[in-house]
Amino acid sequence: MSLKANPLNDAQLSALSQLVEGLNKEQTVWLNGYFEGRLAALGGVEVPAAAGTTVSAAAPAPQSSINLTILYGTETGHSQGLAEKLGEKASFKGINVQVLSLYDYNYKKLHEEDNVAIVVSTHGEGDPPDMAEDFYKYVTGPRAPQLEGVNYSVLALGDKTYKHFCKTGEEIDVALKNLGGYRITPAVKCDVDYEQPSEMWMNNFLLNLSATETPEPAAAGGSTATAGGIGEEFSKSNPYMATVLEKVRITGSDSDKEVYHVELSLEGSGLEYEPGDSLGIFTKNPEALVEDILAFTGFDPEQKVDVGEDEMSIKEALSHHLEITILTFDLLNKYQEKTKNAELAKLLADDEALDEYLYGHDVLDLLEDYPFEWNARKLVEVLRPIPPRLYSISSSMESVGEEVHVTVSVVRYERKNRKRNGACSSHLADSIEIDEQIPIYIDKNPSFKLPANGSKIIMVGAGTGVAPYRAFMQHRESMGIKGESWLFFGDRRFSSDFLYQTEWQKLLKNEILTKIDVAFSRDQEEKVYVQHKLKEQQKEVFDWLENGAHLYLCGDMKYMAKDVNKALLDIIQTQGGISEEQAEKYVKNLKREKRFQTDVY
Amino acid sequence: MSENINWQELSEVEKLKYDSNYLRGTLTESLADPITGAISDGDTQISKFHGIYQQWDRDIDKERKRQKLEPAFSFLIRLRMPGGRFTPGQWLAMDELSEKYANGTLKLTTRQTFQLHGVLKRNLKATIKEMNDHLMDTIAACGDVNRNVMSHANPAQSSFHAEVIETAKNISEHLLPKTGAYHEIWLDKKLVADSKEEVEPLYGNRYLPRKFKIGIVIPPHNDCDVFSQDLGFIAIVENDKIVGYNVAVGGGLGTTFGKPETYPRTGTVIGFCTPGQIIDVAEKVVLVQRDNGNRKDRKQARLKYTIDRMGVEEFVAELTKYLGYELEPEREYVLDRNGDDFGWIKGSDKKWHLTYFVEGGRVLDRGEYKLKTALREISKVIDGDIILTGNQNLIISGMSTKVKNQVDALLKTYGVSPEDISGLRKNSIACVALPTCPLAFAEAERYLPDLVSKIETILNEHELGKEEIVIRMTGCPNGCGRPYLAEIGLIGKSPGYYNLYLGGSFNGSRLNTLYKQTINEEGILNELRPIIADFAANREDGEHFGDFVIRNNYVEEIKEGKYFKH
Repeated sequence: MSLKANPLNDAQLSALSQLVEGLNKEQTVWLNGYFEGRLAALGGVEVPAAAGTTVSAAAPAPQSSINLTILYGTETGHSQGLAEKLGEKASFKGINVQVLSLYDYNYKKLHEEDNVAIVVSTHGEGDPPDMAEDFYKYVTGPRAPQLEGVNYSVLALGDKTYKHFCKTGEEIDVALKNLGGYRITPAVKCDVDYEQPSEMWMNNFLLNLSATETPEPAAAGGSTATAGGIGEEFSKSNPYMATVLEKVRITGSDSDKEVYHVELSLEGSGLEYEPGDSLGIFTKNPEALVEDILAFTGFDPEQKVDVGEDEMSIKEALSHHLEITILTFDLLNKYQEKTKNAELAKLLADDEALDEYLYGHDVLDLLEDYPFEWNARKLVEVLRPIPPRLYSISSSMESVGEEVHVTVSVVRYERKNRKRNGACSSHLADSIEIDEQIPIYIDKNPSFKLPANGSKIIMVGAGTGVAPYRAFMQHRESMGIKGESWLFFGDRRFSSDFLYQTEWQKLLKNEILTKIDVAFSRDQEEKVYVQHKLKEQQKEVFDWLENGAHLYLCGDMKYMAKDVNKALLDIIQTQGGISEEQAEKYVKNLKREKRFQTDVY
Repeated sequence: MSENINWQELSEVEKLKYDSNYLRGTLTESLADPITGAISDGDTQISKFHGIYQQWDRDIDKERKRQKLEPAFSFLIRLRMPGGRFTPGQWLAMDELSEKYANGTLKLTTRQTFQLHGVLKRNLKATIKEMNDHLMDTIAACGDVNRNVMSHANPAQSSFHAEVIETAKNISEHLLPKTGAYHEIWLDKKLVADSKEEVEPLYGNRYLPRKFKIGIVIPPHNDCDVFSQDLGFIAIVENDKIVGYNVAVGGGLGTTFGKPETYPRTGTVIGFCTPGQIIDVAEKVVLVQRDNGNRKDRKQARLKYTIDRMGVEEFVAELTKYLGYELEPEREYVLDRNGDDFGWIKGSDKKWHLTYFVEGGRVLDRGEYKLKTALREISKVIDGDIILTGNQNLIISGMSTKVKNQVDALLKTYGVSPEDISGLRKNSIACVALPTCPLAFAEAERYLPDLVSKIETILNEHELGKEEIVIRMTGCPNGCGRPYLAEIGLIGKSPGYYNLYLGGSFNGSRLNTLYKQTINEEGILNELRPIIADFAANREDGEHFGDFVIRNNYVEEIKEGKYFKH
């Protein structure tokens, strides 16, 4: 932010530049005092006696090295007005200042600030304004950062007729103090007539701020204690126990889909990932299914079986070590080998029926549909070990630091009067709470990566297929990579299933995301999906491709990916005026150039 | 009007209006934006002129925020229906629209019209179109223009009802904005290509400084609170004829907490006009306000402040200049109450009319109480109209004896026969407030019925169950529910807390006075209990509660709005 209107004429400006150039600090301080004297004589701004400051009116000259971030949280606009006023005053003093709403501020960078001024109001029952809520939760919550070396002060606005006068400002002030921040000027609480006290606070704050310029406090921050130097390396074979920092259902309460946003801590793990990578999560099977299988087979739950090299009870094996919620072709084959079941043989020979059966059936179905006198040891031999589940990572380390976010759609359905639950997703949804730990590892995916430069990108995703694009956008935003981007997102209903809606809105506003098209299949009579939106925009989509755009496709393989691929061929054929065969070649070529990458499942 | 405008010193809305190209704004673009259920910030101001308010469900605000979903935006649509008279067909159409596009309920407002709540952005156009198909519109139901014109509601009480409702319609039509924006945006009428820039001969390109409200009463009934209107007309009947109207100016109730320069004000009677002059007088009062109202500060912009700033005399002098003639001196009149008289009445037209109490003005089905269904079925059989009153109630009007019996039967079938309700409840008004009104600090419609029950218990202890006392509650000080004119007024400060005001008059001619600040339910009941006991023991014959608390110095009478304090 710069001084809004420079009131000097050209001659004055050039004289000023000449004068200022090469001034040393002492000369500058003197001049500053001189000007303040002149200003006072002109009846200008009064500098109040700054309680508790030892520094007299020693403000730095223009081009100060002081950085100041002014943050505001407001409902009615008063705090914003005051923040902007402070911004003007500071920039008049040559301070490098930025004024941001708490909504626009990436609070995860708070610990990197030198100086922070916060102007925030309090509402209703002592609540923070909407836009300050996340910040407030962050600094008063368990994930609050250490703020050694951060100077701050708070201006709290409120209304004395309410019980919790200025509560939010007060609590932020105390929180920052407790986190190690240096309260450079005492917080001031203002009633509805805030003009005078706020003016006092601003002047005191700026005076004290100027005093911080020299000497630079030794940045002696205790070295980040990574206990024991190089820690152990975590991997799929040695998963890291990650603490759940946040778990929130992000589909609206009226949605028939259950999608969770989960944030996990990687702190101290040394684990690193890039946008496009996946997170592997180890899980356990639904208890009900284990019980049902034991009951159906009549196995003694405590009977010992061998799983790999370990001996354990069959119950333990079914709960934690063997895949029972999903059927695979391999399992069916082994099952058939052991049972010689004629019906099953028939199924294995019929591709279409087999596909159908593999989808949405579990091991209990298999046991029921193709009965056999199993004993526990034999059954264990045909079952495969339960693999970790992979989820596209929905965050960028550049933005969230040592955290990893995933977006989990919970699998639940009913068949044959039995409720079925996805092993990992339902476990996460039903049994894992914030602060608990789950075993994870990073699964690199080098074939789903942002272009290194700021090339155009078109991102197509339905449902949780949108997850990696959140990571892409965070990455570009944090790295300051400029490049056009276009998201095609589809789900069921606008009001409840627009995953990460407010984040996309913010990205659009900040022009990190250039365009977005959305398809909500159930908001109107006829079903509308992402492929329809692609076709609606086909001229421009083709233009982007012709201009080097990278195309990404993520989400459901069975339906969406197939339909999108078909739409894409149509578009290239129509817009390129070429044959189907040539269009296929065009797509192949895109893939060869790594300009068409998919992550479908 | 000079185009050399210093925007810096004017309120932001002034620029928005000016830039809106006669109320078009960017509404068409906002409606087409698929990323949000909201319209743009600027359009939320412009849409009001089209009778549409953006709102959101505040009950799930926090939850949605955490879900990274935008607030659950929806829209309130308010009809314009001068005098509040609806045909059965129109009632059925509104009933259907409320099910199809809104939250399934109908809200009867304090300005004799309907509101639909919970209409999603993508359904706005269809809703307005279907209203239009039934000869209903929403033009100027909100915004800085003349809003829905109210009139005396009950045909059974006065043979002049038909005449005043016609007058209300004529005034409304005369003061309608002339822009084609509404028809283009909502009804897909094409912009006439070669037309010159259209002009609002009356309003100009910035419309009024603030909203403007007009109401007409026929004494002794003050059912549309004539003194709460920017411009009120009091019909004067002589020799069985309306010979003209007293003119009251500068009523208005909205205030803001923490801004002592805002206050409610009752209208000042400045003279009398003939029926032939009434439209001209309405127009000229609007014009004086257009040219003299405060456009810098919206909280000082209503006509009431213009008049207090100019002084009544100077205002009248200015009005006389605009009119080119002087108003005659005011004539005598007596107003007895601002509430409704409930029950069946056989009117001078020999037809039956039922004034029916609708709690909070909310028409819905809830359990055994199936008011919405009952009124739907009634609409299918009646041969008269349904008229909404300014007290959020309704009148099923103009029925033959045969139909009257059918209506009674239907009310019974659906569990909504007019109950023997208390005098307090009959005279209760609550605004919408939470969860949809963005202005609300506290509950009103969802809470007042419970509070009334608790006050009834106290009243019954003193055998005052039948005593008619006007009680009104709003969730904020903006005054939709006209709380400042109630004998017991409650204005929300924060969830669960209200300011308690006492001493309004039963006929709506006197403002009430702050009695206790920021108290909860227990506080309200504890404050009222001894006063009600005192009232029961020491009231004078026929004395109303509001008059009693003034006479006994519970509160001091507010003689002029500017002395009002929160």
